[in-house]
Amino acid sequence: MSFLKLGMFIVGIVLFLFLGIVPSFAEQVKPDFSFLDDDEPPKKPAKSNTAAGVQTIPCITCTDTANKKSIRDGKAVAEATKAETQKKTKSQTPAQIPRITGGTNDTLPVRSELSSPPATSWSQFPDIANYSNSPQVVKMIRAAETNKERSSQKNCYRYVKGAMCGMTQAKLRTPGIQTCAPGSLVSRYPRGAKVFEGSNNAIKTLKAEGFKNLLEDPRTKDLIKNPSQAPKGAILVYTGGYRGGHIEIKTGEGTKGSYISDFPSPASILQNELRGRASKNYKLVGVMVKPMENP
Amino acid sequence: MKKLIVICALFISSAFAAEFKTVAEAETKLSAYTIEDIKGDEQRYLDGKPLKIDEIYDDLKEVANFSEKNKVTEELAVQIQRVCLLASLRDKSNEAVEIALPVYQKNKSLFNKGRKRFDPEDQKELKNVFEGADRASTKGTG
Repeated sequence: MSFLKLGMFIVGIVLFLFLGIVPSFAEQVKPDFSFLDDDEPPKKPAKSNTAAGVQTIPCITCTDTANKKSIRDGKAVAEATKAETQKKTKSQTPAQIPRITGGTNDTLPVRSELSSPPATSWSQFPDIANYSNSPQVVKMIRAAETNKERSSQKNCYRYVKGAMCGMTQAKLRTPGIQTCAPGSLVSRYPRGAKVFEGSNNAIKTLKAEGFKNLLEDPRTKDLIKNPSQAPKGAILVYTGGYRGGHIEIKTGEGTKGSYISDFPSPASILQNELRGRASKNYKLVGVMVKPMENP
Repeated sequence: MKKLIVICALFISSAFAAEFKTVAEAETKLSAYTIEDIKGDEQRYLDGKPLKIDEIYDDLKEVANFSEKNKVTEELAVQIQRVCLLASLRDKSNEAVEIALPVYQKNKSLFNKGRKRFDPEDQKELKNVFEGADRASTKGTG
């Protein structure tokens, strides 16, 4: 061993003692004091400072006194740290969250202050009554009830169009399928990606399919003050919301029945006061029906 | 004049108080909401008091603002999803998801990872709802 290495080793010890620093080079140095011994054969490098006749230095970073030795052994320290981290991670695994939706939680009461029965019966308008009782509307409502999801999947227009076309849920969930079953309310899958986007909106699209907006009809516009006054089977079109409006199907007369888009609701999107400000963002602009001369 | 200054100061301080300063603060606030809060809204409505569901919307909005400049943790992603489910018990149109959507879009992997802590049925619900909102933001609802 050169005097240079010995000097570095001594400097390392001094630094360790007085500054609490272990220079990295000190660990690489393996002192060999055999040149000081005249008679004895060369010894293997000492494993510890005690064996080498150096004063024992108390472990500075060890928290466990039983593992003092490991502070000199980088690999052992790394393993111990890894094991400790794993232990901590295991003990800190976040708890599973019990089910929130479903069961009684999903049947919370709905407050519908804005609901009121229609002022007049729709039976006095035969073309509208025929529409409400037509097999096409019955089929549409059945499809809507079968296809509905638990809550909105932000796919209201697709599901309403699908119900009008008599599509199954599997077909609705498959993007690109746009076929209408025979005997459906509409002959072809209505176009458009958003309910309300400029001039290209659901009202215009449905009018092209023979629908009429009762809010624009002089006979009926004053009869509908809120969605609960719309006739059975009406397609309700709203502006507002985050995705260019909302659309839903009214499944019953007056306050009976429900409102279905891609999710069901006992009250319309406007009517549930317990939804907080989410209820206040929409405006009813279309009550669409397809007047029929014959039932 | 002094009164005006005091009132202005109160408003300003209350406005700042609504903002989250740290992720931990946001996590703590969201984690405090329970199903009982949502159920209690019926009585709050009758008493003319502010609804908890509106408070949830406010907090989610704050989280969305916070996440624009700060890093979101997995725990925060879990709490966002949890309160969205809570709000959906009353609001099946999922307004809460729309508010939280910008956070989801920037941290999809965290949301997906955190979702594993939920009941399988809730996991399915969360997956469909967030992916649906993400899709609708670009392709519409039709």
